[in-house]
Amino acid sequence: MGITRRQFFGWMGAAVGAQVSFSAKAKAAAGTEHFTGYPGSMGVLHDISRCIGCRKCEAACNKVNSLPLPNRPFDDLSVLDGLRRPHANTYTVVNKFTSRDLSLPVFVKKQCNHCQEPACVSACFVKALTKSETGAVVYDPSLCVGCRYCMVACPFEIPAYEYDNPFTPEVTKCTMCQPRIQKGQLPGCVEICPKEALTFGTREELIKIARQRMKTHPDRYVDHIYGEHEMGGCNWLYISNTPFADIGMREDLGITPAPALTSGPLAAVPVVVSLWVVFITGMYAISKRKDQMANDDKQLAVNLMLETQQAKLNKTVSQLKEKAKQEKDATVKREVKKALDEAAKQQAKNSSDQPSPTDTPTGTSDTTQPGKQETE
Amino acid sequence: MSNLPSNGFTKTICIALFILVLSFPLYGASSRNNHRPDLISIRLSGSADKKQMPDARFLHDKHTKALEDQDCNKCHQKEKNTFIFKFNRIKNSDYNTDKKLYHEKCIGCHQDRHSLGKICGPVASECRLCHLQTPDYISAITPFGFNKSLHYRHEMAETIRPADAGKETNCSACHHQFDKDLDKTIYIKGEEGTCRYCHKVEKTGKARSFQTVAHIDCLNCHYKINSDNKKAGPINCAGCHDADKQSNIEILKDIPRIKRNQPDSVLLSLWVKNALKSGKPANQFVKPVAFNHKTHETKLEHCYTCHHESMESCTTCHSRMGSEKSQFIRLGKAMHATDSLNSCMGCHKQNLNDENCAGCHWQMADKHFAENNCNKCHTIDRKLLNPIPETKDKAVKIAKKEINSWPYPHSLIPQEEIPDTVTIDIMKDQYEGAILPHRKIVNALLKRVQKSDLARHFHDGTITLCSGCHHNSPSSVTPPKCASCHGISHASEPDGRPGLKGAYHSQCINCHQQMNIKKPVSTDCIACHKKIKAINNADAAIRR
Repeated sequence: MGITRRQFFGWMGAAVGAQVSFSAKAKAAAGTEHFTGYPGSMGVLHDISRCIGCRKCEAACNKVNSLPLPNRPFDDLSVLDGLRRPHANTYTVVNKFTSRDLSLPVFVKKQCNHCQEPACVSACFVKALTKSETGAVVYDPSLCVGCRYCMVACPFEIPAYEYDNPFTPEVTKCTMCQPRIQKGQLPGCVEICPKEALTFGTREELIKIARQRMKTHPDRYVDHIYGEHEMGGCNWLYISNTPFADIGMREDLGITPAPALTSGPLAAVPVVVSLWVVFITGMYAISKRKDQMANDDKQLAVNLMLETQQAKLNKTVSQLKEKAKQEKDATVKREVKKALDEAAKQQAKNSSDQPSPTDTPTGTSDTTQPGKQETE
Repeated sequence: MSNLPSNGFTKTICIALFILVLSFPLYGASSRNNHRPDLISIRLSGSADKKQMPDARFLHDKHTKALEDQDCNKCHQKEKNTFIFKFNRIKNSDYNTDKKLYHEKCIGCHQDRHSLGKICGPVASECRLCHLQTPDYISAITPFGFNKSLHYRHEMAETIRPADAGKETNCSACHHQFDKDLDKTIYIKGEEGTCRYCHKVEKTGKARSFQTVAHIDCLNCHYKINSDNKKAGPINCAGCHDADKQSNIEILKDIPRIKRNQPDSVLLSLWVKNALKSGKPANQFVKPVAFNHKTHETKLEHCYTCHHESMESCTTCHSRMGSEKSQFIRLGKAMHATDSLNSCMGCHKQNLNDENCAGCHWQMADKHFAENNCNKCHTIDRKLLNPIPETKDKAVKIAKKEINSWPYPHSLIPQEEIPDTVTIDIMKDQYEGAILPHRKIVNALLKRVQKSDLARHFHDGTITLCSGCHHNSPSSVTPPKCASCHGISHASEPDGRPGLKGAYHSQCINCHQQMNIKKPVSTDCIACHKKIKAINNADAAIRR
């Protein structure tokens, strides 16, 4: 009779359990659980109140990453008059914000924030983007298929694409100078910054430094470390003397890491894929069992009907037999009586004409009996 | 047929232009032109529970301008020869009577002018031109306040001379106080105070609200003088309440002190006095303070900055443990709270934002209360109070003597002992060393300190100024080098102390920015240090 419903659910449960315990081993950044960062991972603290907008960081970034020189040189500060964002050959930009309320303009450096649980990493289905234990979100062009989902996923609009490269276009973004960090050097921008508006260190350390600065000058800083919790936290942190919303930094992102938003539905995908066979088999078994049961029921019904019909028939036959027997007896009696009457008459007559009374009754009874049975 | 697309295009353009034209009035509405200092929203008392039209909006100065040949009495009635600035009535009546009054008088006047062919406001049946659902004007009433200059101008005005009985002064023209026994206001010389002492935001008892008083008393006086064709203050709304007009009001310099018999110096000694009275050892309590009342008067615009509404001494309400009248703010807090501009330290701290101070002080951390130097203010020897001075004059004398004993100017380091220039070349890389005009900087700071009495008092000569840059080590003529504490790395220490490069740039650039020194610009690298020519090799090295 195939598998039972109870068995099917048992298998299903076992399979889901196996999946979960398997994926638990692979739990890390961009996983399904809140990831509080690799311990000791590095980051950069950008103190916006210290930045003077000299663009040295942009120049250093260009150098250390061997990028093509821009059309306008880095000491041309009129570039700051327009609002910019990183693109394929520019991993970082400094933007200037002025307003009537601000006595001095405010400068904000923009680059990859190296999220603790990056949206781009969770969006990348070939693992070309990964969160490194140094804190950097690193890109492996050899794996990239060029889908650019990372660009759509990034809430900070950071990854750029080499649209002008027709054959081997790559996604580009700040690498946090991963090769330099691994050699024990500072990121290019941090090293060059004359005002120490950029501070490199472990993320835990940077948060402490940021808090210390706020405590030392409570009226000079907005009481918020941008990147401490935004999108689940970033390795690039910001403190500012101006409300973040006024200097082009999104405050509507919330503190939920992007992967947490998609992990629910996406976590179901491997389960569905691996359980497909079990599921289909189960469905087949269930439907087959259903057919079988229906067939059995049908057979049972037919048998029952046949039996009742047979019984009915038998009854009728026996009744008829009884009736025929009675009739036969009656006929025999009548015939006998008739024959006896006739014999009596004949005798009476023969007593006058010499008749033979013995032949007649046996002769008639032999011939009439089978004839009557057949007609009935 | 080939015209069709271009027709569609023209249509789009036309629609776009139409929308643009339509939106022009909206642009106008959102500009500053609709900000009015004379916007009055007319809401009758007792109207809250009634179904009614929106409040009528009324532009006062527009009406006075239109009725230029007219008097205030066109709209306002007089009581005891004084205009009451209510519309055509002395007192509010009930809702329906007042409503009828407004409609009859407003619309009546508009109608009269209309029949004469003059410009006029809405007439009957044009309800929604006054009763607007969405306001077309925004109130831009800037609160007006007296300052010392304006007070002096009133004091000196020839036109305000029903002067004080038998005196040259005219204080009684405005200042008065309520006498409960006589049940009227009287003037007592030497006890003048701010209007706000009795005239609060809302009417309290017999005292009218500050708003009512300010309008009735000021404007009536201005009106009377103005009608004699003499120079008088404004009589329209914008004259006082428009921000631009306010900034045009003439400000006099070198104003003599307000004459109210206030002391030149005050001895602040409540704690010690109390200790001596009760026989406790006085040395357990903080030393008294000699307060220079005279110099503080010159620095502040209003007496009420320190005295609140009453002109009494601080300890009247701020007792040692606080009283209900002072909302339990103790004397100590009243003097030292850094978050209040009414306190000594709060106001002094505010002064540090001045560009003459901010260069050094901006870079210093906020001090905890315990880190402050008490001995800068608490200077008077306790023995001078034993015996306790019986009269106020004696106490004032002690304070005055102390103030006069302060050594100004403080000890200065001889010029030749101050290094002329300092070459900073400890970490040359892309740029040559920078030559710091050290002596020039010291002298510039000295000059700025001399500008302010407050700064002079708190800086003990040149040596204190050294600490502006040579911070965190005891003041000395031979302070440690910067590199003693700031490492020659590009990174800051884990304790947040900047590296040497960051320290140099922050110290120089922040000071220049805060002191509003325009040159050199913070991003002009070569203004301070020349670029090293062989930079290309260094570039190449970084590239590798």
